[in-house]
Amino acid sequence: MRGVFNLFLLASLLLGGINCQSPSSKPIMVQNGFYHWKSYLEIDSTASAYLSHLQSQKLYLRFFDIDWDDTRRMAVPLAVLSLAHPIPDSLQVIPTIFITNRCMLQLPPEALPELAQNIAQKLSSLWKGFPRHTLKEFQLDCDWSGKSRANYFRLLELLASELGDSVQLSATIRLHQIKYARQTGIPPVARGMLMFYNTGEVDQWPTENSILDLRTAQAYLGPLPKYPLPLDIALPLFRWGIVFRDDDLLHLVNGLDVNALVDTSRFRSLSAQRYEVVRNTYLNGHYLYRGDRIRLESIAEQDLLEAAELLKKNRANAPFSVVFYHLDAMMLSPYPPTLLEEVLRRME
Amino acid sequence: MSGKNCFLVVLLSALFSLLPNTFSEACGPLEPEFEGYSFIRNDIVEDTSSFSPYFLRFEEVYDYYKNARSQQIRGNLDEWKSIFCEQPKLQDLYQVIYKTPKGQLELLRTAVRSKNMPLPFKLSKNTFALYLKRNKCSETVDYLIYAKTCEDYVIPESNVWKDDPERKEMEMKRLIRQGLKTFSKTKSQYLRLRYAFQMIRLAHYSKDYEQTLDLTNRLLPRIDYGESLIRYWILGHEAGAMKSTGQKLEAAYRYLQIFKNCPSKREQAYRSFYVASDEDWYQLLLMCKDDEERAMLYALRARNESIRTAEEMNNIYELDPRNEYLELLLVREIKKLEKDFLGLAFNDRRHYNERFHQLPRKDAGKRLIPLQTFARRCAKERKVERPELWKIAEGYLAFLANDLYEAERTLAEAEREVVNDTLKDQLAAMQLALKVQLYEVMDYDNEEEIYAIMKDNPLYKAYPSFPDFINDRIGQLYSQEGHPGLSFRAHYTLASLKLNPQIDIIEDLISICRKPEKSALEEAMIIDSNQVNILNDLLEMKGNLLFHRGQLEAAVEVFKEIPYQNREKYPNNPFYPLLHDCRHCKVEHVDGDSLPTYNKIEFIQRIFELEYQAKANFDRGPYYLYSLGNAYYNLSYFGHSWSFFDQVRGGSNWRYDKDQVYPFWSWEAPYGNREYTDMSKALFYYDKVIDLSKDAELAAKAAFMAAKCQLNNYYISKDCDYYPYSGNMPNPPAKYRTYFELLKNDYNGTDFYQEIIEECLYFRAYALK
Repeated sequence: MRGVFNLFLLASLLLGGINCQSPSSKPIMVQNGFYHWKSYLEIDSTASAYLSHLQSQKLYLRFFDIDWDDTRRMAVPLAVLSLAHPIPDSLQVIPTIFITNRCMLQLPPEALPELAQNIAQKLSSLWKGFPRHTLKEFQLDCDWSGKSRANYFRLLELLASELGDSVQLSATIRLHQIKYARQTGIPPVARGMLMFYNTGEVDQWPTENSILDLRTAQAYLGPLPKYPLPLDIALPLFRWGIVFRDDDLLHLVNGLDVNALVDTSRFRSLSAQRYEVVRNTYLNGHYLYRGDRIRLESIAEQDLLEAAELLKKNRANAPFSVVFYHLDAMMLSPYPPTLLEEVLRRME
Repeated sequence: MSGKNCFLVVLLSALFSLLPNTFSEACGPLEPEFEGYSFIRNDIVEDTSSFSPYFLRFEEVYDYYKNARSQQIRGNLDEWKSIFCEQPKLQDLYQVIYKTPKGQLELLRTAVRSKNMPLPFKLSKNTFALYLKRNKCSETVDYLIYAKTCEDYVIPESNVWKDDPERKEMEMKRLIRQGLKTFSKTKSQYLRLRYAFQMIRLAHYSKDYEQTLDLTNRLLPRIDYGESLIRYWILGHEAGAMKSTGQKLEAAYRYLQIFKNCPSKREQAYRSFYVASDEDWYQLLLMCKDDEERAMLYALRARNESIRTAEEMNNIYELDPRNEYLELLLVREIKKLEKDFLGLAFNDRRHYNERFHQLPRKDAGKRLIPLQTFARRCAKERKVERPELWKIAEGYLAFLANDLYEAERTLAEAEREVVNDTLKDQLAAMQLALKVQLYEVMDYDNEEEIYAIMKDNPLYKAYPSFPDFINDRIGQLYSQEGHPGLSFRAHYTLASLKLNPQIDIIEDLISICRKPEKSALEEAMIIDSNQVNILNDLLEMKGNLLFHRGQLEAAVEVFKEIPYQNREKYPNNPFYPLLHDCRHCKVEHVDGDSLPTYNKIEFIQRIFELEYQAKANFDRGPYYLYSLGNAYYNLSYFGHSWSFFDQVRGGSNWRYDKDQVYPFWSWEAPYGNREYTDMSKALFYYDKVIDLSKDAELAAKAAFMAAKCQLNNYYISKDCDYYPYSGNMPNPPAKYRTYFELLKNDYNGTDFYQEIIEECLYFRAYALK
């Protein structure tokens, strides 16, 4: 008996040894793509240039959002995508929908089959706008919580059944859902999309960078290789300004960069990335008062590269996609295609 | 109590008594309301501005938004009514315009055109339909049918999931073409305006912004009709199209017009209004025709809740000191500041406001001081519409700033200026609240005065905040003066005290009951809702507390203070054991014979007797000890006589109990609910019986009861993972099963053992393992 045990131990050590050789040392195939997160489908020349330079294979297209309508007491579609520009045939289009957690909390379980049918029908109706593409994957984005998990997971199961075997269902996964997988559960889908951002407390003034703090993110990545779903990875290519009034978060100003704050008659620099409003003024449609404070947040080139290295060390040993969030000329401008190319290379 | 049916009842009751109360999540999370006071009346400005409901109920924006549709409907119906010389009834207009399907409208059209065809049955008595037929208004019915057809494409109703954008867009274009043809042929200028609206809305909703603007420019000059609500509805669609085509300033200016003139579209206009930069803002100011419109622009900006109100009010004041929005913004801000500051020192629920509403706001002080300064300026310069209102505000803001002397002085000055009855009443309420806050001691005179306010002052009833405000203030003062009982009574009823009686509160209230000369307020504090003196209740609670503390002699002395006629006999016999726990069962008879009953003094005296006999009678001692064990078991939370020395019991409390107190979240239970779950005394006596008894049957019974004590200890322990809903039996660790083990190993030959094997499912399951 003891002999058998020793043999088993030896085998385990050997296998363990093989595993310990880092799952990421062997180059693996990395596909790439972008999220398109607007309600008007527009691929301008800048966006086309990025797609072309990176030879992107995938476009995750936000089709619509779903929120809870208190008046109708039902889940309703919002901000449905308007189609204008054709999408190159070479790109795989992955329709994506965002469902609010509030909706999942409010929805009675008996309404889930109807919602699944509605989503499938809406998807089918919108998909008519892509006659030259084949629907292979459909993604749901929801920051589910413990209380909404049962509803959300049931919806995923029902949707998978509505869509049939030919369409693969995927779901976004937040970092905390990786670390606390036991508590938050594993969504019943074919693939997950790890949203590798929003790591910090956005509403706290002292936070350095809530979009991506690699030290914080690292702490969440330990269980990544063992996560039971194959994962793709979404990386942030966006920036914003966060306006605080009396220590309370007041506005998120999308796309805000330092150039908007150079007017010293309106803004005073407090430190790198932090400013104070010195006279009442409008900023991108928000009216600010003297004394309001602004923190600029974005992803530095170096952070992106380090994120790639970090993810390479922790990823599972299987082909995956890296998807940049999101395809918008203004957001992309600080990140040349060559940089994104390098990010992708470092993850192989 | 005997027989199998009885056992079934006992078993079921036992099961239900253990089921925890569950809180359904189906209703969604509970959001606690703000707990505080307000003395400012909306109607001090409500009569002066159509904006009042909009500005002053800003907390209910959602409701406002939800009601916007009904406001829009009401405005629309009013306009139709006036077009038809006020003849149709409003509800009949509503029936035809909003509730009659297209098919019925077509039948109406046939009836209107034909001499002989009657009105459709459902509309046969409808005053609007009758009017249309009588006056042969086929043009109107044509329009109604057209509008009903358009509705499907512009008003999302229940079918939000099933639209087909492409088909919809084509159909909308077709309807616009059809509308254009009819527009040209229509004679009524009013109906032309409505056709124009339908077409412009269709174009806007189909996102053809160029066509929206084109239709607006082409059609409106061809309509010879004056002021109408519909013009603002059209303006909204024009503004929307302009915003979408980059004409942001022009769009913003139009939204300003809608905000100013069209109450039913006010919220939508505010939400759509957008100013990107300082330059845009200055351009908009230049576009305004006069200072009144410029002041309106600031008022629109001030709709946003995150603004610094005093600054915006200053801006408006500089342009137009008599502007109606100044008063509205003033009242709106005071209502917010009341939540921050009013009664903050004594509001016993301020921690909940802090936790659930983040009140007071971090910047509340920064908001109060500039507003005080501004109110003072307005009252002094007297350029505003009603300087006396600003004087009142100045005094009340000083009150909120806790500058009570200044508040008293300013409000007294305001008293000399105010002539309007509503303002007089408002001022009097503020002065009364200030007076309450100014009390520093609760002496006889003040108590008499406060009692008179509560009893006779009409303001006390007119302002819903007064009861809480006064109770909380006097509660604070009583507490500071060492009267925990009076302080408690200022906030709670006696029922709250019964949940978990506190000795200091009871003693204080007993001393007030026995005080020879009481104030009217003190008298009010020591009677219950049935106007009965609470002394006996207090003595009962005190005696119960002493009993549970093991001070039986002291308890007897307290119970003796209750008049003889009030010493009730308890219906159950606490000494009688039941195999299955049952908190609702009557235990008055056994095999047809009545069991003795006791009042509290008699019961404790019986305890003394049994304790003596247990020691004095060597042979019968174990039987007396068994009775004592049963008494303490049955008086516990788990026993049938729990209510002998306790007054409130929660069925689920065993699950959430902490140190015998269930801390349930309720305003009415400041100390939670005490449950007497301690089994140690009962167990002590059962152990003695097991040790001393030579009668195996008696020892078996004691072992079984001890096993129940152990099981109860398991239920309330941290080790317990048993849920009654699980459908499983409890499975306690070995340390909670020692008496079952004893019963199974040492007493399996007794008759009692056979009886419990038959009667007790749980024990049978355990014994047969």
